[in-house]
Amino acid sequence: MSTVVHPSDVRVDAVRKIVGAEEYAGDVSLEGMVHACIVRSSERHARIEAVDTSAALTIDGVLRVVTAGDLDCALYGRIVRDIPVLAVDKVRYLGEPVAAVVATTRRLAELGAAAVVVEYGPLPAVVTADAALEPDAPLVHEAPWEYARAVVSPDDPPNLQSRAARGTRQEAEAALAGAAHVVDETYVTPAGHQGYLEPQCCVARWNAEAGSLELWIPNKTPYRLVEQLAACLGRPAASIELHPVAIGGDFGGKGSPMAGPLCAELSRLVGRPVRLALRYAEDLAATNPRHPTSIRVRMGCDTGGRLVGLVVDAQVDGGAYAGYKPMPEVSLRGIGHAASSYRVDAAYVESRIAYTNTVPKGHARAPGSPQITFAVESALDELALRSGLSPWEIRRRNVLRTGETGHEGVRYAEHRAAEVLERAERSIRPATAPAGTRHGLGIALYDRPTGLGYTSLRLTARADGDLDVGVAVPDTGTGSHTVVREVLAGALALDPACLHVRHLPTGALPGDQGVGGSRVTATLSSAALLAAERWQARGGEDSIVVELRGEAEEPITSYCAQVAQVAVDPTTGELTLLDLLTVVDVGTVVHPASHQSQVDGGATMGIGFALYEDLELDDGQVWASNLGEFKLPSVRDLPSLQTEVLEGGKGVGPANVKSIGELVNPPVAAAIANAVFAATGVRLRRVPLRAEDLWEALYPATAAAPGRPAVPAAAAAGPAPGGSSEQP
Amino acid sequence: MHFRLNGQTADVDAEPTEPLLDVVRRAGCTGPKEGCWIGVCGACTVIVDGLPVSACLYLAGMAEDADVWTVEGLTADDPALVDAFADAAALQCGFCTPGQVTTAWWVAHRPDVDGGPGGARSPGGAGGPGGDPDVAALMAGNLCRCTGYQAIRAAVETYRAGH
Amino acid sequence: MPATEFLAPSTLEEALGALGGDDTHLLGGGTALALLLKTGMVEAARVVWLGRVAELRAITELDGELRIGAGVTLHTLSSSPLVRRHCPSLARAAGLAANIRVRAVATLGGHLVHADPRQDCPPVLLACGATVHLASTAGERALALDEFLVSFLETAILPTEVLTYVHVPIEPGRREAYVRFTPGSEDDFPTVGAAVALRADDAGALTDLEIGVGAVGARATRHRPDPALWRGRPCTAPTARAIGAAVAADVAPAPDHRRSARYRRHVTGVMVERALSDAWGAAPLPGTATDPSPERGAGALHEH
Repeated sequence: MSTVVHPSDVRVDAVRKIVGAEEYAGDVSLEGMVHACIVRSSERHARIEAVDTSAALTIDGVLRVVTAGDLDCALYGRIVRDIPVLAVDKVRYLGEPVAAVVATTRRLAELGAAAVVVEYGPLPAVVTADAALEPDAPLVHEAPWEYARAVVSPDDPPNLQSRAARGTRQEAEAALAGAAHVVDETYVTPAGHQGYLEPQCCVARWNAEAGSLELWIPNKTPYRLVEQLAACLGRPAASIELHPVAIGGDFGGKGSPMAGPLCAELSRLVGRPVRLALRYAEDLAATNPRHPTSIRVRMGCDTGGRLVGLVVDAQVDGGAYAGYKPMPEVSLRGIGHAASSYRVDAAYVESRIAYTNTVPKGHARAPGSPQITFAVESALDELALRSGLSPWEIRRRNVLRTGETGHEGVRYAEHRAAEVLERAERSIRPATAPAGTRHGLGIALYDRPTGLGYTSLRLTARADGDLDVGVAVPDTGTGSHTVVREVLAGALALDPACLHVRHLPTGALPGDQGVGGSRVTATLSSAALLAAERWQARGGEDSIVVELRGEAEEPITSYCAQVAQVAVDPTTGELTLLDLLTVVDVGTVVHPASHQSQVDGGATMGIGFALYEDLELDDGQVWASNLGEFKLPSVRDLPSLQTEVLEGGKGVGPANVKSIGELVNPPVAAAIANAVFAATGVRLRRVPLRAEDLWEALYPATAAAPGRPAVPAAAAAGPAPGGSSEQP
Repeated sequence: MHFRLNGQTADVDAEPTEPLLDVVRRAGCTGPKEGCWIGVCGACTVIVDGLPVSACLYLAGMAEDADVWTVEGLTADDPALVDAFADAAALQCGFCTPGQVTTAWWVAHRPDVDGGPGGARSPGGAGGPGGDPDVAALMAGNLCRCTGYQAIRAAVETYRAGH
Repeated sequence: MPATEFLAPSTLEEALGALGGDDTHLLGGGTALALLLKTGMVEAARVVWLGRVAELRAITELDGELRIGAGVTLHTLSSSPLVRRHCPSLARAAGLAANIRVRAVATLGGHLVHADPRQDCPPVLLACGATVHLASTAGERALALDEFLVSFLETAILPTEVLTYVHVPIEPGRREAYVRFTPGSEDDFPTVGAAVALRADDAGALTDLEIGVGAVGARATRHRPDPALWRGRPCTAPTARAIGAAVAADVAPAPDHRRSARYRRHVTGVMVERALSDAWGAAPLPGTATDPSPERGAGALHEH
């Protein structure tokens, strides 16, 4: 029998998701709908010499084969519009869409796609950022500055997608020159897919008579997508409507137009509704994964361990197109936040993103932050070792205190770094490493500002006395619609069960900025409070619409410390994460269960980044081409996950909230790498942290026979900072 | 083909070599989802003759006359299953949820555990057998990208304890 | 596109009669073939599913051997009291493969004919001296598994043959172990799988030793280290290490962009050593007559 104890605490979407009734784009089936499949490039970089569609067209059920020449649309992109809907004249990466086949069933569309023959004239390819930025490198784009909203000029190096810098290099270099201790190391991270389980999908219906277009697409920025589609298709934005569908995981990967523009064009060309769903292998190889980076960190401190200088040079592989990055400067802002938790006398941070002949990269949970935090928080431990301080002490001496302004120049309302570190140190539960393994403990710290943005809401009285709450922003799974209900219920003193939250189509509300930038809870809770206020002050209306254009009164940031405990088997290099403690700095937690889920999910995603996930992008090819090869953490891979919530912080707006979703995944990798060092004396500067790399470092090929080396190299290293012990 | 779907007789047009997933979805049960398409993620999990299978790998011809249950049928008369997941907030985006719920049903109803006790080994590979497989060992193979699994484990434990 | 013909014979004879044509494929549980069909890597004119052949779904004890039907699923294999009693490391290996959804349908016959070197059961079956039985309309033959496995995804089976049974000798006193090394996610194929079957005399000295290794080379391999290393000795740590080193020297790591040959060779030695230690030191693995698990079907522990 039903045993619901706190029905009003249950997420608004829980029951329909549990019973399988939630509707995702792939569940949408329209009258007369047909199916599409993409013909993808088998070359990294090549001229398209010819496309032979004749064999595909002989297949019964194949309705049309579409190539670039059939399309009537422009390039698209979130800022830089450099992405062709289908490749024009040449292909720039393996897997790029070259043609599309529309057929009565998906299977026939796939057979048709397999029957399309494309002739290529290969061109020299550049497959790494380093190679692409060489002066004589082959050009991925001949004139990238000519694209709409380009951020580069003809004076820039070839293949530059964007460059972002902060600080003054000379000052930072001078500070390093005067430092007592300096670390100069390079850290490397791979391309990684966001790992959402729902492949990209779109259903489009073009109505020729009305001149209107409807789409069902898992996109977390629907109002922006309307603008992007309008620009690409050359249609008025008012003629395009996006219907709400659930999003089967986002993590940054569902913010781009992706299947939308092509699906819309196919619907126009065949005059029927079209579903374009990717198989997961296509998604892994050819959507918008996390940027691979190579980050050189030079960091120096004085004899007292105080940070005096920091120079970061990040080389980033942006892939074949820049259009999946939504920041005005087309950067990864996370990289710019390097060492933002600390006082540094002089800092210079530069990142260069290169065009390469690889899959275009996009945003992934806290874009740039997992990469830079792995680099900087590892380097800080290396600096601690040189200056004779413990990893805890070097952080304590350098974290920003309330009232101070960091090298980014932002004056935050408070800095709770010291409190977070203190709570972390106090909360450690020593884990036991199995016999024969070595135990190590590592710490990493991260901070992230909470944003505030634009959204709109509609409240409507129902005949039964309940309230309908129409929202403009999709819930990507974080629980944001539940947050709206909780805040409104509190402000209106209503039972949450009387509030019915629904995501409305784009035509129904004025607009919304979309999910991202760690601003959803702050924006929605502020909007909900504003709506409650207006609702109570309304005249006779039974429906109101409110718009919130949020501007924070003062900048808010929050801290996260993570402590990893590992066991390393010195015989094989096998690394086991025994325990991960996460301490988060919060204001008011609106819905504790959703908040905890974000912490656990974020920590787990960080574990995946640290230990498993690598698309194995090599020579322009994604080798980890299915979820059997690209490993996401499984339930039995997880250690005990501990969370400590540091209450009492000052959050954004009257709801007093701090962001959580992107706060928790960035520090994990450094915490684990630091724990591995503590256990073994081996510093791994590349993620994922692999057993084989650890073993190779312990027993270099030149020093030992292939069997079993007699003396572990680490035995000479002695106890490392952070605590190291050999288990019996 | 002819089979039983969620306790009802179903006669549907199907190619025997197409995946059962496509057949049950065409028959209106869209709870099972296409995720990885290779039997790794578990989003398409359905119960065939009492055991969970990846419907994306299960050929329709093999399900002729079989007893097939999807999340829709399993939850229809089992509020405890729904409540366990709802109360624990054991979901976020929801895409993997039908598969998690389906496997959870098996965990509670079919205890014949593969490999017997000691299925999980100690990290170094040096340990011997011992210890009962827990929910994590039984649920392994149903991936979730959102929740970090903690709430899912709690939900399955609650549901299993009620059986 | 001509539709693929799907046959579900209920006897072995019918199944054999359906074979031999072009593009005819035998189907066990489909976890491998379904993938190949879906991706177009295999085009089938006819698929013959063995799931309805009842005689191939049984596990019996026969003339000092376990006779395991090729249609037995990995799930049934792992939960079978007979297998747990007479070949516990096989039950264990079968239970470690993939996930429950795969084990619920993947059959032992399909597993062996697919011949992916990363599978868990072949190393155990090699160590325990299994033979495979093949039938065709022309008759039957038996091959040692070591002869049956040829290379990556390649076996000695003929297009007209069906793998009917796997025979595993029942040897009282045999001690067994299977160790798999998954340094990344637990939910993955092993980087190395090592199986050991050994016997010792009353004085505690090794008399027999067989080793199987998976996931290293192009196929699972059988190893019989030089008896001078072990015969007549107790399986002490130095002996186990020497045996591990001998096997490590004997394997031929196949090219793999993920892991170096040097590393896999090294880990092979370590895993063999650990499997020896497990086999030597462990009490008999679970699977005695008191084990409550049923042969298959509804369970006894949490009956609904």
